[in-house]
Amino acid sequence: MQHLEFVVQSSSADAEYNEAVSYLLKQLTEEEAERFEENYLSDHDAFEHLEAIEEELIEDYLRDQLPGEIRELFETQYANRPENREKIDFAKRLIICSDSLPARKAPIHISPTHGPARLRGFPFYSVTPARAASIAIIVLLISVILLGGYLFRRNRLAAETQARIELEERERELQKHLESQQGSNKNQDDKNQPHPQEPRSVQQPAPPTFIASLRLKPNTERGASGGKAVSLTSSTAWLKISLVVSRPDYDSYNVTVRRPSDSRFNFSKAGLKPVHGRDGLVITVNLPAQTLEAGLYVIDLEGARATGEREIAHTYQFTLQK
Amino acid sequence: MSGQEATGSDGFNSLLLMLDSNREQAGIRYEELRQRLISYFRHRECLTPEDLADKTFTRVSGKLVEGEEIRNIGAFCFGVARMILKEHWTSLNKQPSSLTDLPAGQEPSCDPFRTEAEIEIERQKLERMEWCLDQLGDEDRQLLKDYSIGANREHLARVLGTTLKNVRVKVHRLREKLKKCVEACSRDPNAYEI
Repeated sequence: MQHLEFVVQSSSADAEYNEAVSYLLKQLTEEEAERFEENYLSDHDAFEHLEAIEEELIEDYLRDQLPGEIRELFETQYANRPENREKIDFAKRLIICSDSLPARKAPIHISPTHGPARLRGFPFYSVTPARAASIAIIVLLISVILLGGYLFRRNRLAAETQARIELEERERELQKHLESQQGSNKNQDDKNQPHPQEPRSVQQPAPPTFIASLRLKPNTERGASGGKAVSLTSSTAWLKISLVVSRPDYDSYNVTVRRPSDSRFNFSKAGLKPVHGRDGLVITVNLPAQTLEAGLYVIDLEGARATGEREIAHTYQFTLQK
Repeated sequence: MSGQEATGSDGFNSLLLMLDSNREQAGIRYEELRQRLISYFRHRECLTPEDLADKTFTRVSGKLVEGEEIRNIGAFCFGVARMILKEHWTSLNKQPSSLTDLPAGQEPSCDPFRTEAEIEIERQKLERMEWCLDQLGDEDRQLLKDYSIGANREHLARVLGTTLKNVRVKVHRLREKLKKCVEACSRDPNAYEI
């Protein structure tokens, strides 16, 4: 039987690789499989190589780097077998954790011209899919940071303008009140009265500028009922909530923040994608602090698939104190 | 149970002696061979590969006690493992498998939702993995990541001045190291602190 042509068979190492992949995906005849098994059962180096190829195949599958035919075989001949589940789960965790590692200072230069055959036709010849994905993520992150900064500054300016308008109105009211008082007391001796034109000093409250942060893990906060507590002051402008996601298998997420004691309060945001943070995958939402009242809050994280299916992936809760 | 499967320290000692004259080295060889047998049964879609690997050793030990002459222990074990596999398949055909027979954690899941306890267990596993990754050296950790991304492994091997096969096996050994660390952490949660 011809082995799967997973890579160009330019060397004996590639032929070994193809044979191992064919064995793992049940594409060898019984005789070929027995010969292959006899070899790796009596030679530990051959066994280690098989194990290495198996792990590589799983990682390539999880990273969506397998060609269509191999991918299909992997799903039907390997991934659906319960005895392989442990290996796949281990690889998943390894990918999640290693992808959150900080980038190296001097990355190993990978030349695109030597890539696997399936990558050579990629339109940007100097950019591999993995690198293109990294660049896209970086550009997206920078855009999010810039947009976040812009929105924050815009909101802060709006809050300051609003506060100034309120203060001016208050000052006008006080001025009117003072003038009316002066009118009613115009016949009285004003020696001890302040000069009508003397400006009154008004204590201006500082506009809210601070951001309070809260990191929540799904359904696992121990301690007092109500989950974590966060305390906001009058100078807090935003409450930044980072939701740790331990089910990263959805295409996007929708977040709904609600107050069980107040059905009118409902904040929701759809189409969110998790990013890698210190605790793994994290989704961040920012709530305007001034609109939040003290009490218990519940956050529902809904996972959405491309097919339109939706389900609650996680629930979080926290208590807000003011 | 047949006489061939009779266990005993004599048989086990003979097996170790076949593997290596040095007892410590023999222990290492035994563990390596056991891993290979487990892998063999797993690739042959057996749900209890560890049990079948141990059954193979028991039977090989029995043969040694009976005085059977074995030249290549690896090849002999393979022959016995093949027999055990056939017996296993025959027994499965006689006894229709039931979901309750599956080992814990291997039941096919009908419910796509995970319970809170399962989510917590997964979170702990991720934390252990993260901690164990931190224990690796910077270069090893980076190699795991670069190799896993898989953009160009052949070039990566050339940069490291070795062959693709060597890098592949090196990465496999790093994964094994990581796996042992994660297992050690799950046995003793106090061994690490998050």
